[in-house]
Amino acid sequence: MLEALREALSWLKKQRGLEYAEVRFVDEGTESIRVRDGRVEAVQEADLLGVGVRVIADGAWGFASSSGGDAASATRAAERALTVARATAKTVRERAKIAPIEPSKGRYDTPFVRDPFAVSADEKIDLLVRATESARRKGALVRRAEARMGWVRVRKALVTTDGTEVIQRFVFGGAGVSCFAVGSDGVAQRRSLPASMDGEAGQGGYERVDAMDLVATAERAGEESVALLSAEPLAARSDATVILESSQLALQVHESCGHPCELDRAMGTEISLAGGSFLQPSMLQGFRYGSSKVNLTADATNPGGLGTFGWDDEGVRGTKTPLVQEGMFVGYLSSRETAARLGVASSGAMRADGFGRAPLIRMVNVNLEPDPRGPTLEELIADTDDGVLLETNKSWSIDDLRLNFQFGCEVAWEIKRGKRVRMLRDPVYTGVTPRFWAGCDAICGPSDWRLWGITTCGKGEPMQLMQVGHGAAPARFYGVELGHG
Amino acid sequence: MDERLDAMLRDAREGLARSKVPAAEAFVHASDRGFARFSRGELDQHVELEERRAVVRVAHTVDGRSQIASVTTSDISASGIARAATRASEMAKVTPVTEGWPGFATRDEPAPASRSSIAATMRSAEERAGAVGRILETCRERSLAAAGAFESSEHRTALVNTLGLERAQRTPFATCKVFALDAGGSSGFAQQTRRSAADIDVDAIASRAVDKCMAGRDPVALPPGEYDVVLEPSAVVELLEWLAFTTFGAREVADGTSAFAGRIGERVTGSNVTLRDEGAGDRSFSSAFDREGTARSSLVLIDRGVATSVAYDRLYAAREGRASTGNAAPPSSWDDAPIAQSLVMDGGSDTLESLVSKVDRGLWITRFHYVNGFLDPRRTLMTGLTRDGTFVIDRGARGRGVRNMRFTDSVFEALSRCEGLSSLIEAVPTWWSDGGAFYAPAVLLRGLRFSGGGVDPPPA
Repeated sequence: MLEALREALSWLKKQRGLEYAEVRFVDEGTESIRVRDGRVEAVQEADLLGVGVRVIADGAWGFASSSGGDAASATRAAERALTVARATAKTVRERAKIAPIEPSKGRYDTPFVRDPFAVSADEKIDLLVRATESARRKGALVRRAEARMGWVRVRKALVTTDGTEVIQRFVFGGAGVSCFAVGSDGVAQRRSLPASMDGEAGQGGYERVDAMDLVATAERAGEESVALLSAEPLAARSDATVILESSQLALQVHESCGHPCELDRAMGTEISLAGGSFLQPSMLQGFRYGSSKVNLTADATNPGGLGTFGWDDEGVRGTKTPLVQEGMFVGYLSSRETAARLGVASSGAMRADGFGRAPLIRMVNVNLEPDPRGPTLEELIADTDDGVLLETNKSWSIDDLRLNFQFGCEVAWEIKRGKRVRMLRDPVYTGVTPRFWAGCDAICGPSDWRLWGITTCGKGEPMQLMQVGHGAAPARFYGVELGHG
Repeated sequence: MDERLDAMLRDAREGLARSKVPAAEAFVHASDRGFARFSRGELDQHVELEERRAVVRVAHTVDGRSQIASVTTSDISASGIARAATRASEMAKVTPVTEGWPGFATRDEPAPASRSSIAATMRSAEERAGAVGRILETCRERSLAAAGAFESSEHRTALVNTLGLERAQRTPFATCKVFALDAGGSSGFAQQTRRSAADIDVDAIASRAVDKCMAGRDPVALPPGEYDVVLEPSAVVELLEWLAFTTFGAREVADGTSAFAGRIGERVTGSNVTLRDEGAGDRSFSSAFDREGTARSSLVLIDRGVATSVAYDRLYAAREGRASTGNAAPPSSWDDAPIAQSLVMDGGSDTLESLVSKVDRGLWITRFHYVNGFLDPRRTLMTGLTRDGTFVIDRGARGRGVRNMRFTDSVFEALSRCEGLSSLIEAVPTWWSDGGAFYAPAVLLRGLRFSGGGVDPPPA
């Protein structure tokens, strides 16, 4: 594999005007199984491999991709990337520059105990079938119970004109369940566990699923989906006290911290799809993002994180970067090009979706750090006189600068005088990012901190989906607006 | 027929034959895409992508009951397809039975409607760069930064199954969008989407975006509340995309989570609203057949305000004793349930300007951002924000720019208050489907509910 990449790189180095090149091979194998109401809906595998080449020539960027992993495919992509860069060069006014790095040679492998691709389809399907059946046993009002499991293995190699040559092998995946209950009045409620969308996902092997107790999780999802049908809606109010459990908090971090801390967004290069960022470079070190309790980091070294790697797709070693320290905005997720504009080193956040897309700044594991002396969730609830605990994301929406957000959750628990007193449905909360984080007065301790995974973070054009991680422990916020606003 | 389509059909046919799998289907997709993305006044992400994918689905049938599995590969040669078929066959044998599986489509299926051919549209890198250069210059002349993208792509799709069904089609796609931005935070948006890149008028798009940006300078903040709105087609399509996800598919209707559940034959919107899924015909951007080979039709989903039809694939149709409507999910999608992929909302008799003239005090909205339709799909309750060109309408004329606002409202209820549609309908790309687009007119809606006013960014 490396030989084919070296051959394409060697050809590129001989070409007039070439200033930088990276040649990347990716072979991505996936497996997914979906079961619905005890019936298999889909059993699928995929194997997509090819080469992506990105160059700077005559001061301009060019990228091209080609299916196939041989030297001919790599060289074909290299030729086209060079053609694209030279065409682009006729329009540029500011020459492309990237921050220098020390070249790397090495290898990264996801550690795992049980290879998920060696586990039989029978075993996986049996687990998912039993999970959906246990949810359906919670009554006829459970209209649909779904369980899904997905696994991905990635072989990736990168060679660059800096002298970097690295090989990485990733294994990640997970499972989850969701139930829909529909009442006689037509009200529909969904309950997804351990989290919405992807369930629980992370790097590692099948031991992740072995540890989940998916059947018991599904039983709880079925039970709570039915209970929600008779729960009262959460009343709208301003100035509420809210505790977010960690999977919802992970999405809150993703949308209101991770994306605005992407330096390409802050510099305006993502305007045409996702938008910009309210966090501008001039605000570094001087802008209060949240209360002094709030510490946010971008950490590509967390064991088991979907944003964990040895090197990013520009050859920058995975590292930990503070984004918010004691409430102050201090750092960005960056690339070699954007970091060079600020005169700093790249944070190592450039990743591409497969071989066929150019790398973009993506979140790694963007985490809300736990309070080392923080309470447990139960202690935090006991310390709350009048509030609500919100669990599991249902809907999400935030503006193009990442300021004005609205999140819906699947379930709320009313808290009175330190106790959960009843379930409520259809919770929605609304806020403005720095005001919301300024209201954070307590974060639970390390024992409640959990690293979640999102496998479908969309960004870029053509669209790229990326796997990112978010660690969070439950936290409490004051002055929150409940309801649609 | 196009030589490359011929080759794709031949390789798919040969691959399935070599595998000796008795019941299989190969859906082969090849795209060559040129994509020039620009920002900060520079062409800074310019790419050429060669995308190849074959999805091979196999049915292992014993005593009339079938076990199904599929394998996707980027190797679309005959040997790659044969390997995928062999692997899918192994997987199918250990997969539980899929209840209600109707089998693959036969060669007797109705043929898809033919389409007029479009000349080659894959502009060279130099031509794309030149087109973007003109856009950048138009914005610079007004001291505005430009962002956006110009895409010219060729998609080819071929389908072969072991029952002798063969389909093939080339679907070119071109789109250009421009954001003109000033230093004070005003932005203007315009776009065109066509089947041929030759029909894209980049100068007109750039001028329109510049006009929007200039007109929106020094925006005012308005309080939440109900406003009469004129939505441009880009804003309407954002709402239609979420209706496609949550409302029209057979699974969501059967589950009771769709706003169509139990309401077929009932009025759901105003009588001036007709919405169809139009996969056939010259203006569609999708292939004229779905991933199972079923010919797409003109499926009327809402007929003059009344919920009429639901989108089916072969499996969901068989389970309900119906015929597929040609709405099998594309193989790249996250989910397998049937989905409307080519929505067209009928126009009315107005122009954009005449719609605006009917509003005494309201909002002109160019597009929405980050709409989410999962709040309460039974009610089609959605939330989202305005972006890139929102204006006060004052006594029937466009007024000052308005800071972005958040709406939260039921889309069906809002469409029940629709008091006008433009006769011109525009194609707008769907963000979740590369190479796909919906058509919509501009619409006038009375009393759209805005739950949040504009938020000023903190000082930089």
